Amino acid sequence: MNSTYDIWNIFIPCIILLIIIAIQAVFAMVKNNIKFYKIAKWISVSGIILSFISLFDVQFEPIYYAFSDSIMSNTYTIFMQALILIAALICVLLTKKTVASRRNRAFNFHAVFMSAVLAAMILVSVNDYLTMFVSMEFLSVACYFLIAFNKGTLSKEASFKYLLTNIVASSVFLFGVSYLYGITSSVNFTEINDYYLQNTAEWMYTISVLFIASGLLFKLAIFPFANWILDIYEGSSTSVAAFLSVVPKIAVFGILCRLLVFNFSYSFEFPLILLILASITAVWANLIAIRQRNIKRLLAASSSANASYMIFAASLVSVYNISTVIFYLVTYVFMNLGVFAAVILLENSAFSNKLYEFKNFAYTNPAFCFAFLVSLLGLAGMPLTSGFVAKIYLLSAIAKSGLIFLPFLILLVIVMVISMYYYIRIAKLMFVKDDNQEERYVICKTESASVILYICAIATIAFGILPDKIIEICKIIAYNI
Amino acid sequence: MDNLSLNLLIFSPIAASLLFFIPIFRDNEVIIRRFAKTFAGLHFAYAMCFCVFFNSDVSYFDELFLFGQSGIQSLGIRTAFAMDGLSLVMVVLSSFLFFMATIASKTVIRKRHKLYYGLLLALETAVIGVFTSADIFMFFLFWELELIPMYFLISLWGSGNSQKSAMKFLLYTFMGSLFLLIGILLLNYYSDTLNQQMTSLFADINVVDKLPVNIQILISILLMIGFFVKLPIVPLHTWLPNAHCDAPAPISILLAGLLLKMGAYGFIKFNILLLPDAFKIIAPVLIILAVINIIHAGLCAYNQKDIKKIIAYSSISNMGIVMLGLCTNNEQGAVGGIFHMVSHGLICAGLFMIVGIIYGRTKTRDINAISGLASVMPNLAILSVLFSFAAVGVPLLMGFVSEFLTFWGAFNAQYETVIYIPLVVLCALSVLILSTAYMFKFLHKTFFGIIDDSWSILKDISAHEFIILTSIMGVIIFFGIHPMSLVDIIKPFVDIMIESAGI
Repeated sequence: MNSTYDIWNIFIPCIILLIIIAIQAVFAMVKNNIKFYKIAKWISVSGIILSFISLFDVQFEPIYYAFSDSIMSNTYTIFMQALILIAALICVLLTKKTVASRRNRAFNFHAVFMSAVLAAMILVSVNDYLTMFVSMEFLSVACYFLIAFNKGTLSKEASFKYLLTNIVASSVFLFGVSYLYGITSSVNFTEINDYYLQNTAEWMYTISVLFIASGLLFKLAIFPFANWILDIYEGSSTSVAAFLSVVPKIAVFGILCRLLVFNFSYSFEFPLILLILASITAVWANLIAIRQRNIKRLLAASSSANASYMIFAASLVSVYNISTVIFYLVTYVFMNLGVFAAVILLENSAFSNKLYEFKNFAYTNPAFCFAFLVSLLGLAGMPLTSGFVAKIYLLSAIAKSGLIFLPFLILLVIVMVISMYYYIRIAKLMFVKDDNQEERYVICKTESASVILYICAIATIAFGILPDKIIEICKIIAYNI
Repeated sequence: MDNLSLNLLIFSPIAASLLFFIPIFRDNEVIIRRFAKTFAGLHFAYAMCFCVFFNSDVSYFDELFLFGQSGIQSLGIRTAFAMDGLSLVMVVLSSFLFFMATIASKTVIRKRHKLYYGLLLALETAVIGVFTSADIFMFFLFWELELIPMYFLISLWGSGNSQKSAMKFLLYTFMGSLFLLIGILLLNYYSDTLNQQMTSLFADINVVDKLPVNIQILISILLMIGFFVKLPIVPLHTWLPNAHCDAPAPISILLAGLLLKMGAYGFIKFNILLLPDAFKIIAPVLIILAVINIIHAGLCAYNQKDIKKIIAYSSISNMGIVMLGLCTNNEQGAVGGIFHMVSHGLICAGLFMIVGIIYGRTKTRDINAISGLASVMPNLAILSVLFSFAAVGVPLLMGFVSEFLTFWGAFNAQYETVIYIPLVVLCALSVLILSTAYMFKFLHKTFFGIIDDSWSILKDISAHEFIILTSIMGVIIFFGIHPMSLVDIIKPFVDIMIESAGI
């Protein structure tokens, strides 16, 4: 009886997604007709929109615990879930080409895609380590299939690589959880928190927390688990890479920030270790991005780098810092998906993935070029885009944490200069006019990807010029974490 | 003066540049160019209005509201703009040089006119924004905003190895600006916590006597890295010769005339006015750095084979003089430094224009390949002689006034240091003979001597170029004869500066 109330109170958005998954699965079995493959996308879109609408109905004030305290809901989780749904909606609209390449598997693809979204939704709102492990594995399993969906051996290799790395990370995670359970005899966040309010944390706590965090750091491609990201982005289709670069990232940051504020906050050494790992990742990712000739590998490295910037601010826990991380996430979704949409459009117009191919179209497609440029400059952190505000806001968080973190700030600044180099190199190539080559056109019409590109570019500029309201919201959200 | 709007002054160029990109605007070279020229001319006229109605007791202040909001209020950032004596001088100089640059673009720019003039006007907004911002974060926004148009202007319309140079310029300056950002963030944080406020206006930032001097020096150094990359001061200067060499002539004018001055302007606004305690301690070191700058860049300039590089190194050397003047911490020196910012902006613009004309005609910048141009280009030769005289500091021209004031101030600098400052200054002064050496080497090798047959068909300067050079020269002569008209505007500002940093 109690769980029925719980379902009505906070689980409706997830139930809607579950129904959509079921519908897709039934279609996949019964009506697996090549003609109807376009329906799959619209079922997913409508499901995500319905789920988004039902989010407004969720009870979150005061904090609501459901299913014997294993899932919770407050303003923060609702906001993160909304962000995940927005990002997922954009990603679904980018999948046209991927699905069209294997029409007889369209419904299967969308069923798995929606499961990944569902897993991410649950992950941000979990309240104990077992539910967290289940939802993380759920997300990973869905990702294996999404990565392997592309044709060719490269995607199978990528999927297998993801699987193996993930297994290592998850087992380390479980190991950490078992230590924590051994100390506190509980897996519930609230109970562990209560335990450490009364008892002092010992060095074993730091180790177990570090192990638990490594499971999350894997998803963000932070240093000990960073190598996978390049091959996986290259192997999977571009729309799946776009999905991997935002949705798991939002979900993991959603849970990581909450853990850092409560469960991970009793160790003095842990934030420092996290900072050092983030610095190593920032340097590694930016240096390796310079050498990439394939745009997807470059974006993979940049995604890892951006995650490490956010870790910098998140590890020095305060309300202000968490609000900067949330703002960075919001802006990053639009900037990054804008770039991915542009890359998808370029691929569809028979450009290959090689960077040096991306030229000769600035004068034939000025609007496309402008939108692409805005997204890239946003990632590079140039003024009038949201990236600039996000950069200032994030760096101010580290600056406010004390002079002792000045070396990290300087390191961050230096790697940002390196990142500027590879972003602007893509931007520059667009304007290069090679007289030997014929003029090339990017096909923008009748593509949902082009709509996404323009929406993302407009959002990037709008957040850059009028960020005030969103920063206020982020502050409120961070305060209610 | 209440009717004059700073917002209009700052944001009209970028609005005009957006006009270029609406599809109705025809892609006709002549129309685009005339539109840009007319706009720049009107903008200059409007900037002059500020000059006419300027009153040093009341400074202009304006705030931009978008949908009822100014900047990011939740972080205390406001899109506020103010104009004091220094800003006014720099804004009028910028507007004038942009007007000249748009006129000068006619012969140099042969492709993609829409994009070119669009970026040029966007750059104007950025430069004027830097000179008028009343909020430290707005200052930083415009400081970075200038990078992207400049990068594309150098890389797409430049010559030679322009893409590499543009990238070098971008990375160097971006690096500097991010160090500047750290400084700004720390400064804002300490000011906010010490004064219990949340604001980032220049007027509200106050850390004097409250913040430990060590932290002030740290912030000061972080800020200075940003400004010294732009200025440039010697170990951070290597981007400048490359960028100048490969940029088209109008862009070189803007780079030397304005962008370098942004560094000096920021140095005055932040290091001298906001962090005077630290400045008093660092100033003797900075004087030595400035002297090294003058000597090193002067020697480099003398050894160059490329005529554009000679002028580029000479401008580094001249920025050393500006730095020397600002660090003397007395009235003559500070007035001299600011005066030299203006005079060097004008002289350097003229010299780069001349070099650009020579390169456009002869297609070479090798100083040994060119000779005897005076016989085919008499008008250009006369103007070059005048500009070179101005650059070496011949009396009755602007350069003389500023160099004289600077060194007068430098000899009177009162610092209790191990090193005897006047001795150091004497070193710099004796090396100033180098400026005569390299300017006259340039003049002698290019314009005099026996003319090569291949150059005998060259045409003299056109009416366009003549107008630009003579109008710049006119300003130089006017202020050379009557420097008080400029000193009167900057004097009240300098008084505030000396009062805040005075020993």
